[in-house]
Amino acid sequence: MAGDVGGNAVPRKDISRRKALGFGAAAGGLLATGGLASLLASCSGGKKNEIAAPGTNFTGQLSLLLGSHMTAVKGLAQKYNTKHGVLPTVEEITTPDLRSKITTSFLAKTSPWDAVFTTSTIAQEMGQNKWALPADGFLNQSPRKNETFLENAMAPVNYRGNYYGTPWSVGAPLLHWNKKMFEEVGLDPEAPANWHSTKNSWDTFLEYAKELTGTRNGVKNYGFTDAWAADHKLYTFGSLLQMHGGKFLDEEGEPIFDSDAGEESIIKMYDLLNTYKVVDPAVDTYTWVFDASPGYMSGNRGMFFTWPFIAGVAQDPKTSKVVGVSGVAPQPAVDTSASVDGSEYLFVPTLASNPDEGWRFLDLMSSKESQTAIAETGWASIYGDINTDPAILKKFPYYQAIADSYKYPVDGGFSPDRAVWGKILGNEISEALAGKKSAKEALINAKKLMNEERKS
Amino acid sequence: MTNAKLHILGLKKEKRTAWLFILPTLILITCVYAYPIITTLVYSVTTIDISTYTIKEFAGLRNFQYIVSNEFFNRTLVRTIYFGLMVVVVTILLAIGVSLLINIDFKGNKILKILILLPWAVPPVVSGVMWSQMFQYEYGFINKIIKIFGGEGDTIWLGSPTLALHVLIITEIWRWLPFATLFIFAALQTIPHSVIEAAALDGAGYIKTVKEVILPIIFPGVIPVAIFLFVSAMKAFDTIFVLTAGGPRSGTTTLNYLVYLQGFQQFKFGRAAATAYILTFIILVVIFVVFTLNRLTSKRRLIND
Repeated sequence: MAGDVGGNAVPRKDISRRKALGFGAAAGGLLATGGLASLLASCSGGKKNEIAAPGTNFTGQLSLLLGSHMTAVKGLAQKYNTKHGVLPTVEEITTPDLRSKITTSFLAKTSPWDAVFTTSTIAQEMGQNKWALPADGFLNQSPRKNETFLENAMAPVNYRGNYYGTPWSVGAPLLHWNKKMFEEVGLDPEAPANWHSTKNSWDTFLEYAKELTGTRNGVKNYGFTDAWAADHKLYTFGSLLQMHGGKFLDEEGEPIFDSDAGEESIIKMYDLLNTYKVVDPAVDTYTWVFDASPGYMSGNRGMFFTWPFIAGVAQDPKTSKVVGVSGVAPQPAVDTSASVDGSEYLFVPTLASNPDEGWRFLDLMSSKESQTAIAETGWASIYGDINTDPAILKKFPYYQAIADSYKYPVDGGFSPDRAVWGKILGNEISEALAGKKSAKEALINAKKLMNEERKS
Repeated sequence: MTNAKLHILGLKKEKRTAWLFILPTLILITCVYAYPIITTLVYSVTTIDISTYTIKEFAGLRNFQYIVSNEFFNRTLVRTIYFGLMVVVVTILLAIGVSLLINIDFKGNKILKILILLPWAVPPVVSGVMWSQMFQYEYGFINKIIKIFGGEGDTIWLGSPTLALHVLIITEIWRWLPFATLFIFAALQTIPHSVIEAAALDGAGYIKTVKEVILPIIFPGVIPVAIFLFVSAMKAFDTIFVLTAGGPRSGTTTLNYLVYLQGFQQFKFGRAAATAYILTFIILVVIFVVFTLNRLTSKRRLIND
């Protein structure tokens, strides 16, 4: 009887529901391959459209891929419509998802977009794979002139002498601090402003972080927060590396981060997290700025290494409890202060259907008028004279800190395979921060894996 | 014509009809999947130049050799199988419990049945975001509950590889529980009341009836569910992508996620294709083992009957 109910008592060779389901499950197994295969297969074929320089073939259609945080650039879409009679379609993407999105599309030999947002981390990769059109000619037109841009902010998009991106805003992580918290524990709230120009101020930074950490009024406070998940920690590691006089790569692009400077940098990060426990303990789960910023904005994180624009966001009373008490300055120093450039760019894809519309949008975006509008929203302009305009500087005093931060090293080891080896190095540093490997072991292993990856 | 011959002819006709019904699906699956499956096989033995997306060289079994000799792959393999088994075992146990519960007639039973199905309607990306907020260490619901019950409530759930892997397991169980419950509940519905009544007349209590009567009856129906769950767990991607992105310290990277990393982060398409084939092979082996075990236990049950 039991068999009757389950349909299993009489072994029959015909097709039962169960067998059919079993087949379905087996087919599902094959889908594990099929899913990838479909994507891979879609990568063959497709159109090719190589245009070398901006022209005047305006098609009346423009499609943009912008970062979800790029409200200021998104606002230019309407302006483009007013000026040129073309309303751009805008697709948005978060920064962590950007690389997957655009590379998948370009590998399939399509580009639904005519201008695409890119970061310093992946800009050279776009150039190496010929997915981005070189912008040299465009950048040399007025008001854009290569020499008007910050040299360090253009390094990430420079691949073998050609520029593969036009900046829309410049910046590198700065030190943000909560002056109110400083005062509550009896620390000088203005002290961090000069740390960047004071040798070995990292030690002072650490002492302050220790003082700021602790439970007050039933609330846990931490001296410092940051985003250290995956390869995002390379902004802080890279800053420390250069503060100690080290570099990610040598002139030939070979890894040299396994130096004493590299080891000392990891040890400093380890000490913050484990020895002195002055860092937000969830720091290793924060993938990007917006994972870590709520902690700082809630008013119980003393210091924060992050992007300049957070200084503007921190002034919004709807989301921030540090309105009017958040200070900004370049990061502290060991031998020197340092940071890692994180300027952002737009490029015209090689496969764009309307490349000239793309260039025309970039032209609008990089005009003085648009850049002033962008600077008015809290994102530093690509033009120094706009950032230092007294009216703008009064409203956004941290633009001075951005300019100051570029006086120090801001290299990020930018290379075409930066995204790949960045993940390897990020993973190995995580192992060291978790105490699974020594700093030296982690760096040596990262270099070994990176070289293997490059050879394979 | 004898009755036996008529019976055989009837069976043959039934079989033919069954094949006719299945044929369109078979043709569709073959057409849609044969091409990519073959393409992937070609990729798995080649090296691809990503700038032109052409085959650079024939690599033979080099991709497979690289993968199986790689320590990272071996750790990922063990983690993937553990992940899959946990999802299958816990989901099925919970589904059996929930099915038995909703099989009892009580007020609100119908509402409960609808509520149970809800997680199934939630897109995986949405559930991933939802669970990540629930497990957030400072403001998350889970730690708040722990605090209410007197605990510290400061666990960083997604901060350690082991904890994060189990958070993913919980999320996948939550996602697939409605499906498993629906299937097992359907199997329960097929049990004639007379069987339960006979067990009661023989003096069996509820627990004994479940253990000795209900579970053996529904067991054959659980097998396809187990296979489906295992295959789904092996293919889990969206939840991992949203919740942990394979971290921390690669502690939640499963084979399917590794295929994505190799293919669309490192652009090693040959290697990704080879990993995909290994994953498929593992799934097929598990399906074969489960079917074989089921056949053996069915035979033994027949002999016992």
